[in-house]
Amino acid sequence: MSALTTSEGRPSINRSTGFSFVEVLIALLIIIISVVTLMNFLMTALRVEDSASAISEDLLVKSGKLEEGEGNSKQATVTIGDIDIPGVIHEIGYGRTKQLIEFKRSGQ
Amino acid sequence: MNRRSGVILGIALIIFLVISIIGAALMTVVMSKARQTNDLEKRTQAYFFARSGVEIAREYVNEKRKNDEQFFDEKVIVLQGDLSSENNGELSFDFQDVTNVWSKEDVRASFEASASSFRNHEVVTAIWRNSESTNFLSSGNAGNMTRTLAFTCSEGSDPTGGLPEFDMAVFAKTDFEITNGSIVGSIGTESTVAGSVRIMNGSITGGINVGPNGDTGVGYWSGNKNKGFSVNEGAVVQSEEWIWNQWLKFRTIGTLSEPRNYTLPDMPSLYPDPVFQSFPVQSSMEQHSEINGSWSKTTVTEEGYFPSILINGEVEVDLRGNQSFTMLTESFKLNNDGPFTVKGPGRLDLFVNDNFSTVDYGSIRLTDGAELYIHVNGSFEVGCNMSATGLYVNSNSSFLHKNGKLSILEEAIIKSSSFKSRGGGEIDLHGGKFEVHTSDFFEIDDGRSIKNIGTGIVRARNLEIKNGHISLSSGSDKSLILFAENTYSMGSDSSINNSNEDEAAKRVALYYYGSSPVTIGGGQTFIGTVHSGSPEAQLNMTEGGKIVGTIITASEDVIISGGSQANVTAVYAPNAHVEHNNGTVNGAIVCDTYAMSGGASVNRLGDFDPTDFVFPGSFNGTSDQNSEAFELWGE
Repeated sequence: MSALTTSEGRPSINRSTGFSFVEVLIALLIIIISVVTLMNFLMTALRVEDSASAISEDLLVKSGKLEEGEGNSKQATVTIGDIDIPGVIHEIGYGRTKQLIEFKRSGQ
Repeated sequence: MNRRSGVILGIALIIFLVISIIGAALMTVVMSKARQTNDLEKRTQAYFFARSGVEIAREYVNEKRKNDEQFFDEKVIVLQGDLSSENNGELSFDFQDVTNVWSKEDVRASFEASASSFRNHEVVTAIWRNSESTNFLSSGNAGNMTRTLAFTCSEGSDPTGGLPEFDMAVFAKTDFEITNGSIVGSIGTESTVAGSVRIMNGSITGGINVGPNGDTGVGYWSGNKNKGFSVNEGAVVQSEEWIWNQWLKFRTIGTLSEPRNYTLPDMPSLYPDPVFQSFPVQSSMEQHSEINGSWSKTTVTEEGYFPSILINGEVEVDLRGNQSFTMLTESFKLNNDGPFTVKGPGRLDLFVNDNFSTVDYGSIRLTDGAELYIHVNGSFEVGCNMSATGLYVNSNSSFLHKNGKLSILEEAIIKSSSFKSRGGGEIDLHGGKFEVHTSDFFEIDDGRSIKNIGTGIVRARNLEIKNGHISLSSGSDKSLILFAENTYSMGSDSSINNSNEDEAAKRVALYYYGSSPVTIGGGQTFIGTVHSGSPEAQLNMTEGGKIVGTIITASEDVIISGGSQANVTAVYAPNAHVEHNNGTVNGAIVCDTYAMSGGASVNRLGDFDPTDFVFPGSFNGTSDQNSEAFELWGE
């Protein structure tokens, strides 16, 4: 709030000083939109961060398991020219829908 | 004009700007984190693709080297393909021979230079060999991410298993003599003593190897010195001048690079006794009177305890459709024609506390899909035609098959004091299991056959195939292992696994622990591995004997004579003196000392492949300086 003083020492209010109601309204609108958007960004960021951390953690665990031969396995044959290489494709899921795959030969 | 007009809008816009900057920064951080995770996922998958490439390439190398041991010695091969394009388990990879394009000295540089052209495949693996190891460089491509793994491995000389080196027709560690005979292939000795290889007559088509640093000259035999070729009294090889002129001067005489340490494989432990099903408790069963079959038909429609079962006329156990009956009795005797019939469908478990016997005629039969499992705790004697699904004899008494066809559809497990099959008829296992343990004799005589064994174990103190045959059912998964603890013998015209099937010799093994001589002769046929563990057990291969497989003996005395024929990986007798008087060995001989005479022959032909046969047990290698197998991973 702004105040001016007269020569008699009485304060007087200059009605033309300060901000118009419209100005305040627009300013408030801008600030609210900005804050809401920022909050949305923040929430999304937290969600993405959380999801990425969970995926990374799961990926590390599941890749270790895959190395140990865990996970779903199905018979597979790799044909190279006239040679057939029998083995197993191991699949292990991580995250919600993703999966890692690895081929291991039979008879090791 | 008021100077302050619009200031608040400016401030609001500045706040908006600040918030936007904070938001953008936040978004950048979050996107970076998401990208990192995404990269981690791709890198991890690329890593597994690269590992898969090594797996595929290792097996490819194994398969290629089966046909051509030297295939990779000069080549650089690249395999490439996609794992995720798998179609019902079928994957197709391409291979490229880049030997002429890439430098073998720096495959990695060439591999990395070509990386961009491989990007469209998930798995790309380069393979090459150097003197001691096989090398793999494998890239996995997932999205825009690539991981490369390096893998090096060496099989070493396999100190714990595998085949000894059978690269010569005859290897005699300390002494070698040919007075009359022919050898197709090379020979060798570890000796460097002058005259330890003596060639008086006969021929050798291959080279001669003497001990490390031995004198590779040739000296005269029997004092005929100074007659035309360089005399060398210190030479390991001594011969006659005419042999020198005829063929010996055309042969290469070299030295072994290192001593050979041919050791014997371990004998396996004796097969453990079988475990049998418990008998039902009499008091918990419904009590019946004895079955004393008259000449008219008797029908049994209830299970339970029957004090004894004696059959003259027909006795039928009617299982009344899909019922499982349990019958317990003290003794079972088919005393006349019978028959004893089990009518199905259904299963009958017949438990006999004491003896089970039949006369030499009549029959025990199954009708309408019945299954009969016979459990006997006393002696077992069968002379009639008999069918059973399972036969379980757990007894300290004898097992005698004296007549008729004994047909076991599923399995026969027998533990008894003796097992004898003689007279007429045969035992047919229909591809099922045949397991016999005897504390004394396992004997087949009178030309009897035990046939169609699926999985066979015979452990006997004395294993005597006097006159008979044991054969397996058709198929590569069938096997028979014989354990003879004290004695083993085969009579004339007997056979074990007389089969023409591929790799038949890999399916049968005989382990002999006794010290009496083992003789293979007189029209016997044995197709499989014979492994004799006692140094005292002399091995005789005599007239008319035929063995296909591998002979391993700890004996110090081996005699091959009289037109015997052995098609073998080896007569492997590293501690023995082998007296080869006659007969043919198609394969290799490894022994301590070797003497050849009487027109004997050894043929280690060009297509000789030791892996055609089985060399059982663990084996301690052929060299004192075993190179160890290793596997190294890197990036």
